[in-house]
Amino acid sequence: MYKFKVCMLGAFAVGKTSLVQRYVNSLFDDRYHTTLGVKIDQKALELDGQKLQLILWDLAGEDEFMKVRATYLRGASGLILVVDGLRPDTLDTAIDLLQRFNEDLQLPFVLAINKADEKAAWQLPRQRIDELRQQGWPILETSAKTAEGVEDLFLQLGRDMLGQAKSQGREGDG
Amino acid sequence: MDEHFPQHVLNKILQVTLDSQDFAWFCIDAEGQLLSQGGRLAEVGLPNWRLGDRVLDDALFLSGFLPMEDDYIGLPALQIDDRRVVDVHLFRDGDRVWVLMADQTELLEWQSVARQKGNELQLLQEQLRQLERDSDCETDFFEALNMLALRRNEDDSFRILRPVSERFLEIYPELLESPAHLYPQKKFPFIENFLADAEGLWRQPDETQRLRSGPWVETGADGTEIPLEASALNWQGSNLLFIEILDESYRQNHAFLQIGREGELIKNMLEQEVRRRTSEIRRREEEIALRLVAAADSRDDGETGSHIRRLGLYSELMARHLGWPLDKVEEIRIAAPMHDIGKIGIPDHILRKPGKLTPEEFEIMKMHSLIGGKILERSEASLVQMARDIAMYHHECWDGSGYPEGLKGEEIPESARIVAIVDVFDALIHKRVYKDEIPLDQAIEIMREGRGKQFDPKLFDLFLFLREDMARIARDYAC
Repeated sequence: MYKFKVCMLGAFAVGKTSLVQRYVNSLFDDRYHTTLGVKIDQKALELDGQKLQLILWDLAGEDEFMKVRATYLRGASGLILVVDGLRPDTLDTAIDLLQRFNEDLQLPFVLAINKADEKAAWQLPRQRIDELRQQGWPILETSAKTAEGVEDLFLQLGRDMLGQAKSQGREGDG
Repeated sequence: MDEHFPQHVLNKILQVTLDSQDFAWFCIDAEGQLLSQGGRLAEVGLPNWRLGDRVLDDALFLSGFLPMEDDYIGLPALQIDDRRVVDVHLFRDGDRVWVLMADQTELLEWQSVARQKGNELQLLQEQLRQLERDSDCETDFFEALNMLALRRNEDDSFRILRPVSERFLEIYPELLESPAHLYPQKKFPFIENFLADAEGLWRQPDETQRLRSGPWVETGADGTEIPLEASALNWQGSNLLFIEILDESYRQNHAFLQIGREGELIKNMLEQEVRRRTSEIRRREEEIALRLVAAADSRDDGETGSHIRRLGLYSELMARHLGWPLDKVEEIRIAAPMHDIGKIGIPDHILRKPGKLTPEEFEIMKMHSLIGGKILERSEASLVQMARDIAMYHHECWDGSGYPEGLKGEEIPESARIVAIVDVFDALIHKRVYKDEIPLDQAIEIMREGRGKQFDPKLFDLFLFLREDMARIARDYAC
């Protein structure tokens, strides 16, 4: 079995905790409940006949009150960057976080544009998203509320992490 | 031992002999003359008397007791000099008095030591009781603190140092199974991550530093979230790890953060709503302006709806590259199309004349900038003020040869200098009833002659820099 530590990153109130809760517990709570610190959940899955254990680190959202600690990313195998489709500045935060933390690590990552259930009201600059896609960013639209794209989000990252682990000659445990 | 000792004196001698190594005795008559003596008189601080000596001058402790009325008087722990303590026993035997002295110095010293030890023991017992009470307090304290204190063993396992709060058992039920060999790093991935940082601290000799992990959250048996924080410390050669359940302070911080972020979300939402509505108002203004201008220009065969829209877009492009604020960039896009609104006051026979205007007709035609300025003057809206500047001054020339006021250089509002360039550009490259279209490169060459004369040279250079984008607008918004 491969164990992968996955860190959820993004601005506050973009839906990181909701995505984890939807994926791990199939739950969704419409109320905003801010995360202070770190919450860790686990999810086992099977991908292409390979067993994976995802250790999901739900990190407190970044804003003027709180910054993400670099030490939390130690030993991570992948990142999920979450953006609120309704708040354009959350894309800037996600890009900034990736530049700060992943330039050296070069971890597989996926950008989740969350709140797809309100896509009609999205405010993200389409051109910017297209540019990021052209740069090779894996981008998925998700909704923790309706579960749209949530499974795919973790599967895609799982596949990328598995690919990287195998390319690095890393064996699974047991 | 004298055989004349009465039995009770002999009994006492036996007792004090057993109790003391150094004893002496003497017998005196009622006058205090020595009748007999024995034992180790010097050891009990007595001089070497001879029989018949009066002893009262040396044995001052007898003062007041002679003549003796009671059969027995005991004088325990009598300090006879600065270093010696004796027990003195006085026995009346008819007219005689037997005096028995036993050195108790050592015994008293021992007693003193014993008393000292007893006191110390009592003190220790009291301290122990206090410690027990403290320990109880400490237990309560640690339980109240909800802190798990662990010391790292050599094999990287941990030993519990302090009583464990029951709340820890909720999230860490294995705690009591092997309290001397725990692996919290296996139980909590967060701790596993934190120990890498703690290791760095533990390697340092500094005992003053404490490393905190920041909070993390575990879920209790009943599903409630339990906030925790770990910290690492070096103390007297031991690597210590504390795990604390954060209660009130965490909840307060959490509440503050929640309120702060909810406030931030509401602010974001309101700002977005303001932007959306502002944008909507701008679109509405633009549409009204374009329709009105198109209606006014419909009298002029030379102008088209596409021309005025393009003029707005060219001007917007230049303003953006000049670094204008976003709201001003939007304003010029709407205001530029109104540049010729004054033509509404020019008679048809002049405005629609297909041929060249006479000097008189041209003077009348030039009035359109003044008329436009008049129409748009005295507005408090910055958009209309900018439209007025453009309508009034877009025929002014950089060298002062333009009209209506002959302004020169930067006396001419920048918005009007921009429109002066793009208006000529668009007119040259599009067909009119009175002329054919001119290819882009040729139009540019014609306009280049106006650099520094008709046109602001710097703005004209920017226009040249943007010529490809200008051409794209011209294509995308062709008639």
